Amino acid sequence: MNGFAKCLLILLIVPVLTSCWNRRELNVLGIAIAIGIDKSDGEYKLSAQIVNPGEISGKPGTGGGSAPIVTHHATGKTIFEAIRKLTTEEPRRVFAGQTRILVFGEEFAREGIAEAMDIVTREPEVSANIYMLVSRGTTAENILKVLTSIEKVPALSILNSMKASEKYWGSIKLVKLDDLLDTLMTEGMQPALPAIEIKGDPIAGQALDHTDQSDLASVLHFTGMAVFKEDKLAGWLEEDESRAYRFVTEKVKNSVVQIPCSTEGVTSLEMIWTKNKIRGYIKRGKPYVSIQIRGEANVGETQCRESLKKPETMKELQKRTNDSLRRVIEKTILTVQEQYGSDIFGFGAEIHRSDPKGWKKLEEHTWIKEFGNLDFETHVDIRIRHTGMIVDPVEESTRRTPR
Amino acid sequence: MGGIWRSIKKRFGGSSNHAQPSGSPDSSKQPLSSMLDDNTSQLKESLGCSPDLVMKEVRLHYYPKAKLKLVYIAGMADVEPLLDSFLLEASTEQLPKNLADQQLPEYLKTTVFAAGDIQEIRDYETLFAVLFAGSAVILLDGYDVAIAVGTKGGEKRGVEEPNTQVVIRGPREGFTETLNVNTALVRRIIRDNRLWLESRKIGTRTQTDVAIMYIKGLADEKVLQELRCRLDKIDIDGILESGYIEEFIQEKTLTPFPTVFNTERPDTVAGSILEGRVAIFVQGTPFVLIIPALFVQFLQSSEDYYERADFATLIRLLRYISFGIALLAPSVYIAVTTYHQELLPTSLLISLAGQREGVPFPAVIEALMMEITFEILREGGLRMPKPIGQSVSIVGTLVIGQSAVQAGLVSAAMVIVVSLTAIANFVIPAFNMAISVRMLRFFLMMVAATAGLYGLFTGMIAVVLHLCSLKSFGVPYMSPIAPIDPDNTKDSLIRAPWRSLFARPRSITPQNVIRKRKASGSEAAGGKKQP
Repeated sequence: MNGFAKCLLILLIVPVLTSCWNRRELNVLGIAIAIGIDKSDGEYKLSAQIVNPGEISGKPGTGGGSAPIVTHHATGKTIFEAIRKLTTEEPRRVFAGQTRILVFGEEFAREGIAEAMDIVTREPEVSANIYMLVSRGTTAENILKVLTSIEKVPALSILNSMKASEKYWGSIKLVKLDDLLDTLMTEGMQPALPAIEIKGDPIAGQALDHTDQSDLASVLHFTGMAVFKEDKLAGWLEEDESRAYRFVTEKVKNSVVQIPCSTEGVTSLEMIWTKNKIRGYIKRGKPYVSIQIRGEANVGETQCRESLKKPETMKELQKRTNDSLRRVIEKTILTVQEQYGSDIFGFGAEIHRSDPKGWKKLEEHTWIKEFGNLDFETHVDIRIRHTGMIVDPVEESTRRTPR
Repeated sequence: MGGIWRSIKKRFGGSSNHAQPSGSPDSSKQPLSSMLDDNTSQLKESLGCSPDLVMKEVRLHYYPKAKLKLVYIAGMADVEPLLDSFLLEASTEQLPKNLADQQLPEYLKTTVFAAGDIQEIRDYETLFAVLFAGSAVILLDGYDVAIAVGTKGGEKRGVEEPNTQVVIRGPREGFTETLNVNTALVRRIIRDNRLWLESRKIGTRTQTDVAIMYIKGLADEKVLQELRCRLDKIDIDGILESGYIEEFIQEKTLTPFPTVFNTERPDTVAGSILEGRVAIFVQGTPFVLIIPALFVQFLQSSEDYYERADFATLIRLLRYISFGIALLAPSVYIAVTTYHQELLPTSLLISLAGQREGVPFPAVIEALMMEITFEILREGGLRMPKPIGQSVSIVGTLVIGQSAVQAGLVSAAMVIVVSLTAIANFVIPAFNMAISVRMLRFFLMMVAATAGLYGLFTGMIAVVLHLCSLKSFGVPYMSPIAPIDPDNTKDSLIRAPWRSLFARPRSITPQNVIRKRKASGSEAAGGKKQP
């Protein structure tokens, strides 16, 4: 046998000998698409929403009418222990590489999420692309159990509706694992996570037949943001407040705001874009920020009696918009300041950035206290650009004709 | 076939007398006898009294006493015109002057066969050579000289459209099995006196004509020298196809990639010769070899040069993409689905996982099964009689694919991957490159199955390193990409418009890179470049 034949033989044998390091076939994986962490009796309770792929894919003859997901639970002193313990119930190896959603139970979140952050960042399998949520008024376990209808995999359904409501409703701000870590580790900034709750009967939502109905027995929906102080859940922001939170903290692409008319009724404005500009510094020993929000909006719907043809009306509307938005923002900041004392807006970090000398004058690690003393000033400048396909309110025109 | 491969290492003794004629042409350096009967009996004996050796007595009108014998091989020589010339001789009213002074052979040569390819023969070796080449030989009683007349004839295939490397637009001519026809087809395209042809015979028994064609001054002398040297070293009893030559002259490096290009198309040969390459014609096959062969050449079609540059460029890109798919698709699928599930979009992963539910084999085995099934079907379809072949291959693939999925033996995604791979493989214009891809695909599947994307990339790096180290007759195989040559890259991955294609491949013809538009000075060859 010559050298070449020997080499060939070795090459052919090698694949057989290695037993394929770390190989895992698709059908031995339990794809944990969402993971929930709760606390019960001092132990961690881990819930994993595991996909039943045969039920979801369109392969004929495999859909046996069982639920598209299975939820498994395990408890342990550490999360890692609980994860591994899942295999005592789950026939397949739990695979966290595709986990898209991590839900913290409300109770668990109140005690602090930092411990959970350790394993999710340490574990190489978990991607940094995972979205973090807090369950409101229920446990993470219950959230993971609710079945959804159009998108069969509940976690994907949550993910999609999360993205949609961020984009078109603007009530929540998505937070990924690495964002959360960033925030937790930055001084002068506290995290806020989207809050999810069950609307309807949580038990009925677990049964597969509830998805057969046109009106689902229970649905998951987002209610705003959960405010954290350090790593502990401090309270909630309602939808309006969440929206204000977003205007302050980021560039918003699309959102909806309600502006009361001068007399009765409301005008809905579609915000096309907004930009935030925060300047922070220490003014006479006190932290101070100025918030500037610029943006454009279109009229989405109006119940007002005024003709939008007149430039004065538009100006007036614009002024009312700015005032109303400013009031909401101020109210939100005050609420957060007084009720929760948590700087979810990152004002501290902003002061640190724009006035590092002043920041140093503050005592170390006292920002949480200082945040309560923060003074702020808000300027809102929204321009209303278009009124849609029509100018005057339809109501106005129809009433005028018979007279 | 086996007998040919057991190549005769030692040639026949060469010298020595031949009491018993061996029939081997180079064993009879024996001169012709002046006795006609001796010659005929010797001839008959040498050929073992084969009945296709025809001996026919002919008479000359003005030499009634002369004894002549016309000898030829039935089916190889077309003797009609020759016999006509005897008739013509008889009907000539005027007696040639100085008839008595002229020797009989001289008379025959100058008067009887006034036209045609005439040769005097003095020994048996040449006699056999011309006889088997299709000439007729006149043996004369009383002279130790025979006269051979070129009567090459017999049945042969005409010029037809080639079956391989089919083009939509472009010449429809293809090479035939006859060497002269083939060289003429190229000469018809390049009318240049610098288009030189060198001929030699290879194969101790088949005495196959092999001709190399190049443009003097364009082809690199070093390449030519190397080629001649390699051709001279060939030691085999028979050459039946240019594939024999290819195996003998290709690089000795162990490689799955072809380093000699072959084509059935005269336009491709002409284009290559204009670029300074050398073509090797072999009698008996329509496949002409071209050296030096570069990697990019195997992914080009002659049509690229006939279509507009923008379209040709896109088609070339498509070919490179197909090359990648054909090489990598199954291995990437295996690597990603068994090692790197986190790389896939979630819904795709769920869909793939759903299809794999209940499939009893690991993805590698599944892929290997399908690939091998496909290879069997393809090979089966190829060897089948033509009308059945195609349908077998298509129906077989479809039926087996579909029922295997329904039976739950393989996943539908795998069938898609394998079929896509197969189709992509057909996009590669050169069949021998397509074969290399097929071989490497299996190698890459194994490494991907062993070590995932890590293994796959290691394998790919190995392949690329190998490609870059490869040479064809001293020319880097990957040029003009590695080493990069900006002028020549215009005709590699892309095909730039003709206006800007002024450079020949520098690696192939280092002395004459610039194509001249107008014939001038020493450089008269390159007018326009063909594929």
